[in-house]
Amino acid sequence: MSESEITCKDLVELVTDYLDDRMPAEQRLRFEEHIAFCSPCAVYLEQMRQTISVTGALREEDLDQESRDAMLSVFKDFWR
Amino acid sequence: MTVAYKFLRPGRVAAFTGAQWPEAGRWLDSDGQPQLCRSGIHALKPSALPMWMTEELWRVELEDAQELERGIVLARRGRLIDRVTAWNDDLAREYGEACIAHVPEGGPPIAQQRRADALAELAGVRAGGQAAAVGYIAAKAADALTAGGYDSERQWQAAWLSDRLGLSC
Amino acid sequence: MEAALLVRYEWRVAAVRYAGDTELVQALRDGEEAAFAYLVDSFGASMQRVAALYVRDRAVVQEVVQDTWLAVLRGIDRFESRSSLRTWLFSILVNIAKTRGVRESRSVPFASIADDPESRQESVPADRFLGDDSAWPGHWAATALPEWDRPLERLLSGELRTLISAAITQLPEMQRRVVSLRDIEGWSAGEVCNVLELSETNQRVLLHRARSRLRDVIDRSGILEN
Repeated sequence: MSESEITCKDLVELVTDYLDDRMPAEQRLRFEEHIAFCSPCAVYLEQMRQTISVTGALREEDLDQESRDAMLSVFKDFWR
Repeated sequence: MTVAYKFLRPGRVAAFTGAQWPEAGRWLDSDGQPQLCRSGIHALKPSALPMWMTEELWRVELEDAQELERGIVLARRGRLIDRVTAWNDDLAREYGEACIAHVPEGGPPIAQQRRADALAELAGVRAGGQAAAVGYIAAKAADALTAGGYDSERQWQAAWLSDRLGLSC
Repeated sequence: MEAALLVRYEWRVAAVRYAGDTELVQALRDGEEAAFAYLVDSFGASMQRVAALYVRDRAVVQEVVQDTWLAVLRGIDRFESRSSLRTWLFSILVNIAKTRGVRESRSVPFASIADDPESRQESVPADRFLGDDSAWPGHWAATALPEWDRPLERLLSGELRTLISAAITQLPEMQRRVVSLRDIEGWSAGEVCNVLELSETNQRVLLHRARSRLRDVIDRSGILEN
């Protein structure tokens, strides 16, 4: 078991591969097996998910009116 | 049809995907070709129970199941049969105590340290990941006593659970 | 306020009408203003953010975006649908932004820390883990990590938002670009690799470093502790 066992130190470097689903199935299995008994690593994984979530919330779709008008004017000028 | 077991979070929620299982008797289908750890319904043979503990243990029926390594069973669809109610906080505590008691005291410092750590982890243990942690730490303590101790300890732990939970397969 | 509501309504109508790229491309070729407005409302804010990954000056950001719109209008007849309209639009934007960015950086260089994807870096300081002489080599030294308290709700208060925004601007350039395109703009790994000309592995290494750094910033701030 020990040869392929993932330690916590290994795991924190593998989190992005895991979340991007870029891990061989065998490694994914060992990753999840570790998470199943290691509460700090489970919290770390959740913190990474939450970090991604918080970053994503920085995205605002609304354009300010001035910018919007300026962009539309490109169209108006082009088609005059 | 294959019968296997599944640990779920409270409310029949899958631990890693967060998928909501329907109530017992209703089929849950997966998309596409089942792939280990990626897609499909995953369930456990009794040999794998020590590794995946959560709050709820269920018996599950699977269609077109394949048994993979490490006690994992993979299928395209499955349905919960019933809850294994014998798996509860009290049994989790007994399990933890049994795991520790089964590892001999003494031996090299690392073995002793690990055994003590298992005892510390036992405090406040309930049905869930913490019980899995006790089992893991105890198996690692055994591993420090004899070569191959980890695997044989896990086998013993799985057998203990099978017996106490009254599992058939 | 009323103008904003009108924009939202028009956008919803347009979204139904231009359900696929084909309808939208045709409408643009035909000079339909509503189609162009739909594009502006769909991508305008994102284009500003992506341009800002390459150029600092706010006025230059606007120029890059305006030049992109012009290029889109000029090039729409030749657009071949080999990629999506969105991918095409953003490749134009990044090309223009890169050129301007190079020009700009000659006078105002971006601070950049050596950021070689090949070099080994730690996401978490080594002293947070037990050493080889312990009973648990490589395991967390602490018995528990603190769970964060309702991060998305806390974002509304502004303090967390400011913290993360600032942390992102301070990342090394390529990490900032990758994490912005992946986690703010929501691009796929493939799209990011294409536009930034990175291998998949390097892209993931950069993403990993950026996310680890951001997690660490949130952790150290104590903002989300119970």
